[in-house]
Amino acid sequence: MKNILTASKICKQYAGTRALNEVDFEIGEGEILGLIGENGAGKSTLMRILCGIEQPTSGDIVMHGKPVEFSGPQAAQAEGIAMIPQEVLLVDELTVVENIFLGHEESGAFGLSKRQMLADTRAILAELDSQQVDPEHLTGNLPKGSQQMVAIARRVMQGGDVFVMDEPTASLTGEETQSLFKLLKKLKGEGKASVFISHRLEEMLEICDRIVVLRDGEHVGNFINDDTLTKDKLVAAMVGSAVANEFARTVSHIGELMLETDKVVISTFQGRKTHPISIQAHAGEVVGITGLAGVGKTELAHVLSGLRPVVEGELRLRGRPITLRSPVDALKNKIGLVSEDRRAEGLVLELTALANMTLTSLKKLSRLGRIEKDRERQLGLLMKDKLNMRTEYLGRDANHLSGGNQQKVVIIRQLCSEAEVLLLDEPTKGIDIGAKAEVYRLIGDLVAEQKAAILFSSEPQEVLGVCDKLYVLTSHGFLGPYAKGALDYAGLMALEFGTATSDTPMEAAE
Amino acid sequence: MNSQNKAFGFIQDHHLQLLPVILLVAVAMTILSESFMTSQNMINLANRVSINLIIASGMTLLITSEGIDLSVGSTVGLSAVGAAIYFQNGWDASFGPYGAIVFGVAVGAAIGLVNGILVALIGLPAFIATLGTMLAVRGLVFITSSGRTIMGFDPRFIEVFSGFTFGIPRAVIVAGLTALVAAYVLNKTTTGRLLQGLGGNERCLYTAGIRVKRLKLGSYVMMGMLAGLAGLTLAASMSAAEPFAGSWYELDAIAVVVMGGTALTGGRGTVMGTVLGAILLGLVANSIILLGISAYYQTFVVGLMILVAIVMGSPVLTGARAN
Ligand SMILES: Nc1ncnc2c1ncn2[C@@H]1O[C@H](COP(=O)(O)OP(=O)(O)OP(=O)(O)O)[C@@H](O)[C@H]1O
Ligand SMILES: [Mg+2]
Repeated sequence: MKNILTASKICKQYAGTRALNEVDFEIGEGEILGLIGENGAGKSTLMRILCGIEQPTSGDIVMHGKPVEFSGPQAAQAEGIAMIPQEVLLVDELTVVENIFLGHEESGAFGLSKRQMLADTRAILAELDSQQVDPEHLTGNLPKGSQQMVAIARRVMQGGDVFVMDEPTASLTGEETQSLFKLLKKLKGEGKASVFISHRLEEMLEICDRIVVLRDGEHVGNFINDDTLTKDKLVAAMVGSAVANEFARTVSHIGELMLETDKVVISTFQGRKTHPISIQAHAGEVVGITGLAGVGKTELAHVLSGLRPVVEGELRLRGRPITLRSPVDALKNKIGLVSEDRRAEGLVLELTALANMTLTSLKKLSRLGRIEKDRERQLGLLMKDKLNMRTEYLGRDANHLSGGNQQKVVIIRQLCSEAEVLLLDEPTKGIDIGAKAEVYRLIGDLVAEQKAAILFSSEPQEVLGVCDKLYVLTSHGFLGPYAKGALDYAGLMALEFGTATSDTPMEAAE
Repeated sequence: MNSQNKAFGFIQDHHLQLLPVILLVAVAMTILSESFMTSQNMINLANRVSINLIIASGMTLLITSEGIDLSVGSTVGLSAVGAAIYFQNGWDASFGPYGAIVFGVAVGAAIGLVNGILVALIGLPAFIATLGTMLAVRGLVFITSSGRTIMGFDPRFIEVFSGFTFGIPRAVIVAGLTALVAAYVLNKTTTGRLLQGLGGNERCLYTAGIRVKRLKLGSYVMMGMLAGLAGLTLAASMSAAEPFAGSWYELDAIAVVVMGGTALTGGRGTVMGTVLGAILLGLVANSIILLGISAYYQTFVVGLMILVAIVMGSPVLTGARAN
């Protein structure tokens, strides 16, 4: 196999950190390459360097046999490298087709040929099995997964020899992921290479020809994906040790009824009304809410945290009806949200990691309005240990943290606030396998203090593994609750896709 | 960021860069002009810098939270005229000479409240809303003063702002305290932290359940009160309230905030930088007058200084690029 790109001895020094240390890296023609490593290992940094977004401190890149130096992303693009960054960059106020052609508008004899662009957009979306995405819809209103698909479509449309994707599947559902893989295989057939990063090792084993492991900025493993490669081997290379049962957590006794929705109807981002939703979350319980993309999981999380209005039905907290006009009301009622979109909603990028963690706990950390910085730091130190973050990250601007560490910061904020009902919308998006296990354990510890947690997730393994009780949102109805163990993977899939009816809902808990 | 960042790293604290420039101008002026180091000139300079700094301290907090207030100059005028009318109407007979201070600050607070309602509650863009109040309030100044300069302040009132304590002009003390409090609020308190957060990502604060509207409203009221205080200081230093008092002060204040290194895009601010910016701006304006250069150049030079400050602080040069 011929190498398209060879990078050797790449180093990247940031103020105070060495993100990459003499990393060698190559991509062959028609290869699907996986890049894995813990949060902060340097994966995104390496990808940004290959795409010209950042320049290496030292090291060489050879592409198509000739040395190249990418002064900027345009230079890399001109050589055929197409990057899809970790954080989706689309203009919310533009439509899907406008986003896809932004800066590359096709022009006909009379200016932009709108019809052509629409047709092309439909074609590429169909290739990604995303026909349901209306090309003339505003991008900002799409579910996160569809936005990711649009971002991918945009790049593929512009063409290239190497497609670099930083955690493309983090915001995709299983189904969408499969569509993406189909596309990757098609590109492979055309001799084009792709590199992608993911923390979901099963995915990597499924699609990649080869998997490269980074640890602390060093290249520590290169595995050809044959039948002998296992998840455990990868984990061992990533972490240096094995991770025991990922989903283990304390199971506590179920206490009083905390948050309850009574036949609540909400409107989705697309303006569609859902079926009436009735859920009950008790103290000591981890409740899961799952379903395919666009069924309204995030919207439900937003309704429960005061960001969206209830269309019909009633919310009750400890049996008492409540109205949440804004997140202020939610906070007052001790309901806290870990938002799905960490950059838009979860973080203030200009503030330090520590300041982001304590944003909603300032009251208890201050006296007469003055923040007691020692106590703030103590809390930060305590929390970062629990999620296995480095001390130096605390004082760093959130903008300069790796994606996974940003996610940890958002989770920590809710863990140290006084929330008694915790809404977690895709909380483990982008965090590594070790930290994921920690998050599940922390959620378990939290509900053990007689708090309730509601986990909104499209990852079947996660909800099946962690939740005491599961509800399934589908377009044909709201199903559940299912007790832990009542559903297996296949059963859940059948429900989500509507090929089975609700077979064994557990007795309505009371 | 990369090696570029090292080379330009000092610019991140670039407000400290103003210090040598200030010293340079001061030394040059001492040599070039005999009237520079005289006590009368120093008092003039101190007054000018102080009045600007009172406003600019508040503006630092406001800009850090991604707000802006263009109406402060007009508010200065209305507060000055308000205090003058207070004495003209003999209200001091019932409320004493110091009641004028409360009155002037209250006038400022009221305008700040209007701005706050327009921006925080109704949701108008701050730039447009305060442009509106800037004109409306200036109109009120003309109406209330009938376009005439009003005098007749009680000497006790004047003494409060233009006397000396331990040989230091009161205006300097007022401005120094204001800046200290602003720095304390910004760096040490919950409010300051939230203002930075507001400037960085309002949506995040809102989602987290923080009372964003109240915070914004409060910041505009604070700004109005400080503009009121600056108006009183100005009136006392001139012993008169002119209908044009405070014109262009909003631009001076915004200029020194930017020169000091506070980001116009919000999220980061430095009161120390603002203090240095105010001193530098005052020095340059003063020098132009003392050197007999046409005052017309003053506007030109200030404009240039702002541009230089913005270019030096720009993310492109410092290499601080969003990921
Ligand atoms: N602009 C920056 N300034 C300083 N340090 C940075 C900057 N960007 C990244 N880093 C640091 O470089 C290291 C590698 O970060 P990188 O984003 O490459 O990690 P990653 O492997 O992609 O992690 P994740 O899985 O969390 O996305 C981290 O320690 C990170 O904090
Ligand atoms: Mg990353």
